[in-house]
Amino acid sequence: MPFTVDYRDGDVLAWTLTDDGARAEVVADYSPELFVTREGGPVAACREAVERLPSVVTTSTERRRRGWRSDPEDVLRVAVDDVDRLRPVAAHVRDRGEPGEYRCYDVDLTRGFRYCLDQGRSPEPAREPRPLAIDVPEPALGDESLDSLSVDGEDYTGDPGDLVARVATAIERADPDVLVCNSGEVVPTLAETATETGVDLQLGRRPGWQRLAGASTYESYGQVHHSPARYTVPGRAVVDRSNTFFYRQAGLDGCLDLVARSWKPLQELAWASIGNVLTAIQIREARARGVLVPWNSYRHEFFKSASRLHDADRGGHTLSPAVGVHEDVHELDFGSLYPNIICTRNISPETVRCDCHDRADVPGLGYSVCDEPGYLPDVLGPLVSARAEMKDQRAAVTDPDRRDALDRKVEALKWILVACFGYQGFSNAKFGRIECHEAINAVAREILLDAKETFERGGWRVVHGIVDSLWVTAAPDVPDDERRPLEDLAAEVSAAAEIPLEYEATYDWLAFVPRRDGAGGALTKYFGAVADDEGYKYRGIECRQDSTPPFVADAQRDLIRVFDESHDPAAICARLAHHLDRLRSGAVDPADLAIETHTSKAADAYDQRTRTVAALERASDRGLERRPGQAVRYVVVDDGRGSRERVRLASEDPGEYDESFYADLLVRAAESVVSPLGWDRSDLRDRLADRTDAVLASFR
Amino acid sequence: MHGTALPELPTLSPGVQLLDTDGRATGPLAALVVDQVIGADGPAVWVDSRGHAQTGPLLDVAPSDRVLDRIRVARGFTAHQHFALVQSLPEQIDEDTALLVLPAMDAPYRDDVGQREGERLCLRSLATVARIAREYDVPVLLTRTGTDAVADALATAADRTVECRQTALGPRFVTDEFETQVYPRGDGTVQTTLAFWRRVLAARCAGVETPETATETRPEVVFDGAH
Repeated sequence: MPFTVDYRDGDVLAWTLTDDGARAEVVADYSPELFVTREGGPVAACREAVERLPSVVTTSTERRRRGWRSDPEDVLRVAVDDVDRLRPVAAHVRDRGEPGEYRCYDVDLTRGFRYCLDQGRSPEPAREPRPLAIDVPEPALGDESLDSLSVDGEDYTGDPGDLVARVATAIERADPDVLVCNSGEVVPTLAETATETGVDLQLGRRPGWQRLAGASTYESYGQVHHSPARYTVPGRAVVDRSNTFFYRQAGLDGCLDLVARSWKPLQELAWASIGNVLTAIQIREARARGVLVPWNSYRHEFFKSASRLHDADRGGHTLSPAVGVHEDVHELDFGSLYPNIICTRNISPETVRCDCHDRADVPGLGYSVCDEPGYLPDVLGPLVSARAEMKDQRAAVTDPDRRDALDRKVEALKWILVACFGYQGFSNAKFGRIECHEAINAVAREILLDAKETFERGGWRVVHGIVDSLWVTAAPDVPDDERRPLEDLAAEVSAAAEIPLEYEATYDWLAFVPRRDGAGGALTKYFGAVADDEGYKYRGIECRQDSTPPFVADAQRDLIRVFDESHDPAAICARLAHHLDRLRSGAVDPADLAIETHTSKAADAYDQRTRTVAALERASDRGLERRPGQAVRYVVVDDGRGSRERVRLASEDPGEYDESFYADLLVRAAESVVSPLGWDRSDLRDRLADRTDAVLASFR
Repeated sequence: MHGTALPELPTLSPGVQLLDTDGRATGPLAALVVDQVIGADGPAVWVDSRGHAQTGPLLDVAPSDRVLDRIRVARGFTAHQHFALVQSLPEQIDEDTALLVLPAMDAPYRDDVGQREGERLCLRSLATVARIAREYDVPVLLTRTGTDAVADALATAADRTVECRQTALGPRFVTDEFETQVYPRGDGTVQTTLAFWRRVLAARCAGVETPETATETRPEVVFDGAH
């Protein structure tokens, strides 16, 4: 069970966790492999030439399938002496012959994952791994010297040598298996400080550390993302909290569950994206079926008429929300809708628009779906049932630690299942296929519309529907004795869809927020009071947005409490005035006014002098360089200024703020709350102005 | 059409032509493709890139929704997919094919892969397209998005260029033999907007098929006394 895998000097060190620590197995004879196919001729033609390449150890002809639809064929296996030589060798082979003639496979697997796949060994640790948290404040990760840090939750200050010694002692005592750091840069920062101060520090189970990948910036779906540099130390997994989706969302328990399913070792799993883990799970299935993993995917969509494109391009279906406030609303959700559609309809890249059937299996699109079991249902089926089982287990468990662990595992799987649909439409997905995406959408749409019809026939009004969720309330024009029970209708819908429609919640009231331009309801902006509970549900409104400062978010939630008590826009407005007064009197802690934004480009690439630019410039002045895709937190202190004086970084502990800027944010947030009641911003302003006049009048 | 001779879009002759537009080519492309399809027996084959295959602009100018049934589309989302689609074209094309369209043909080869590989793949795709144009005597229409070596290769491969310029009067098409004239509407105004082209195309296809609905469209721009 190689918990973590190091590549050192041509050997592989496979680390297994033992009762008293970890044991390294030195594997000297491991040669990573890639595969080659050729168009229009036998691939063996290039064998001699490939064998002569300097890094190539051996070659042989093997039988493999180049894709899920393909039959086995003769392919060239190329074993290489060093994992870092796989890409150069692949590029060399690809450049032989005509473009597209030689195609390479199994080239870009991550190194630990590759080793586990090749050796047939799961990286699931033999015992619970021990984490150790190490946080180094951001300035010290930049230009400034180390003057404080925290280890295992304890804060220390002092001179750099003492601090590094603290870390060394903690590591020696705890012998951790996982180093959980606030940034990957903690590794080089501590190692370099140790060298400078002459302190003996060993972060790994053997001396040394490696940088696996440099920092990079990339764009996906029009969004700019930043990928920080990655570091590794021997025998331990490094988790960079600033560069992990699953550790943040699902903790160590959730990550370990996915390690077992994907065979990505913990360190690689922690930095992987959702799609990346889903791909890994698919790659395991591919290996089991003798299918190679394409380096460059040449698999394209089939031709279709533009009218069919028109039908297919419509996206997830959403009913238009009935703007306003509704009483006694029930929410029902289809459980794991997309994965269940894939499993029950056998939707898979190799089954949709198959060659062997000419039928209209997909509603509205007329695509055929093969009867042969597809691989995607085989991959997702176990995940769907595992998640359902864990949810059942969780309901039966009383031990809080055990419950939390199950919650995190359920959460981790949820993300994989959520992503399985979008992944099919992602252009760079190794195994995605746009026609699967379209077929899933078309089925989902039909299911939602059928469900709506069933509820309406049963005496209910559907006030909103988004993809897999329906909100219903008793239809006012139907007498109670003619209304069928919700459970019966849900059972009927579930049976027809072959997907369970589950009760999610009941709301005493639910408010759908109109769009600011007045053109109907905003699709995903609503809030409501959950029945038999103190809680509220918020979706899409300001308090749910990351960029909203805590003060504004808290105030909005407070206004929603007033909404609950009164359903009266005037009362909400009065409460708003109270928050505005606090803001204007300077009583709000500036720390509660910090705005967090994700930058999309470097400071000098912005055309306009935005607040973000001002914040980026301040960060740069302080050696805290922000790359596109990274977050920056700031407080607006004087919005009228164009320079970097407009804002202060949150880390500068600003002592003041721009009252009118934040008053505007607050009024906007209040508008979302009163708008379902028919008020807009001008109503709020008028009422506030009256009130100001009243206050002034009282002084006369 | 006010009794005057029906204005025409440039006829696309067999061979490779580059449509050179000022902005995004979606609108002019739609007018040219629809015009070509309604006058032909076979379908247009469209290898898409960068989301140019939008049915909206086609429907804006199509005299009938049924025209969409005669445009066959597949999208290449990456350089390798685009390349493979072009290599598969011989299965899609025959002598009846009205037109082969490849919008933004340079984009995937520039954005998705390294420069060397991109150029290799693009040149190979261009050679395939040129061979298809020759063998099947079919008009091919390309557009490009960049100004680098890959984009230059498209211009070199093209037998001729169709220019489409955005003017105050709407888009004007210019080729060596053809120039969009300014069309008087008979009331002192002129226009060549896409809505105008829709009516032109509806009139032109009257002899070919009957439009489903005679939709009255308003011109996007009307200029009083502009000539």
